[in-house]
Amino acid sequence: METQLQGKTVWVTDALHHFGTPMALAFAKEGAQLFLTALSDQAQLEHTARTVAALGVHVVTALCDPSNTVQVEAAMHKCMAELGRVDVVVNNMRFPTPAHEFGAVPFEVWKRKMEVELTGSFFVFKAVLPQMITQQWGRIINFTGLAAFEGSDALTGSPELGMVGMTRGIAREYGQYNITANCISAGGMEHEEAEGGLAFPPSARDPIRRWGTPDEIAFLAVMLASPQSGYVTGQCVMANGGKYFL
Amino acid sequence: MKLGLAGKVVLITGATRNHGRASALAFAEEGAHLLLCTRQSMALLEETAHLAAPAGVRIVTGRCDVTDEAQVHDFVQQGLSEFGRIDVVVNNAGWRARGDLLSISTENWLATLGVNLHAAFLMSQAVLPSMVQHRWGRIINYSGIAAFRGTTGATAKMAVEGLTRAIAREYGPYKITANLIGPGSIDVQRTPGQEIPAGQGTSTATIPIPRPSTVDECTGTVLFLASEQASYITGQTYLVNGGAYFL
Repeated sequence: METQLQGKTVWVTDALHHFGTPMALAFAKEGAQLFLTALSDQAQLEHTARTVAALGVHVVTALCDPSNTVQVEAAMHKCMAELGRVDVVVNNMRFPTPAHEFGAVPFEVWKRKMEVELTGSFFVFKAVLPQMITQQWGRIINFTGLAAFEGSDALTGSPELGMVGMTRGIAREYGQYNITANCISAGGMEHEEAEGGLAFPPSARDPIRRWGTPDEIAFLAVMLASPQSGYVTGQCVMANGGKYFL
Repeated sequence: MKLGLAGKVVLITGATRNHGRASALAFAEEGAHLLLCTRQSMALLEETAHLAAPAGVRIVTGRCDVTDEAQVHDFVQQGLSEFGRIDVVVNNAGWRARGDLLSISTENWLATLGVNLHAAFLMSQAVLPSMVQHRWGRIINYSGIAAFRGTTGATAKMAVEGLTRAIAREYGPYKITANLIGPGSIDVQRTPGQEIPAGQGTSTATIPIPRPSTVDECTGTVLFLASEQASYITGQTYLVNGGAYFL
């Protein structure tokens, strides 16, 4: 299948965690140039950038705390200065937290998680949407998870469903500019336990009884970013081995 | 139908007008005691209490900014010391950010997270120990039509659905349920700064029930979800929107 992503510019908002690196590699294989940001760890970010650039695409990096609007705007400025456009945002915005009993969730932790995942996303979209409107084309790909649907953890699940709401909002508000926004709900992924967030291990009751791999999610993101998916917007695509049916 | 609400203690946030007031009066008519709060207008809250007084139930009112951890704690403690328990919480207070993503200010965005999401978190966390102790409780949160149809300003209203499901799963063994009501377009009085600019309201002409709802048309759902009859309903979203969106 021809994805038509050659030459597009893709911003991956946390290139070091969760689906960040697999996403960057998947889009690089399609010939897209990459803008990779991370909260910290410039050395690791440069290492990841070199790995991605080895696939023959142009890669630019920046450190950026998404909950700081000044840093987000500076990152967007760098992206425009060095790559000239932004076509796709792979909004890999996660602040992993271990499962808590609801009564034991500190309000400060709750607020920080919302600040990074929801307000951080809000700031990124504020920065990129004017450019996408100018281009009359854009793709926003958000991530949600399984906790939101199963109700398995308040701290994890609340912002996850918030992302579903934000996705629908952008889809409705900016569809007229050929900008689509969709959400991938992944659950049961092999990196969940290592990242210290909520994990959904394979169970004997699951239709597909194994961990999911990041490559399987990257394929969905590439598909949703493609011009071929121009009529798909506001949706939540689930990849969880059949643990939950929408 | 017997609702079994007589003698229950019901906490309602933002009980000054509209849904909050209508719910307060409806619970009072069922014989439930009221614990009512507002951030903005004690005069309107006292008016609600005055209107509910003929029902002969006990009513406690207080000022509380539901986005402030300490104020929520103090208000719930005041309620517990007055009544000894809190059985039902209706997280009615809401804040709306109008316009599309690019036109929403950071301040307004943070206000929607505070009132629509953090408040439900804080209030639920504050009352659940009492509900667990008494092995009974009802938490009723509010969403809205915008969250389902797609409005960036309603992000927090969708997030509160995630919170509702998680509370439902975790506290079900204690006979505590948590559900969400999603009203549609409503004829309500709006707080200054929350008015709908002319021409920007959602048209109800094409929905199955082609009119906005009155504030009373959600109270039946609130009472039902709070009642004994709804003891096996939890983690659900009940839309009361004239058919504007089918879940």
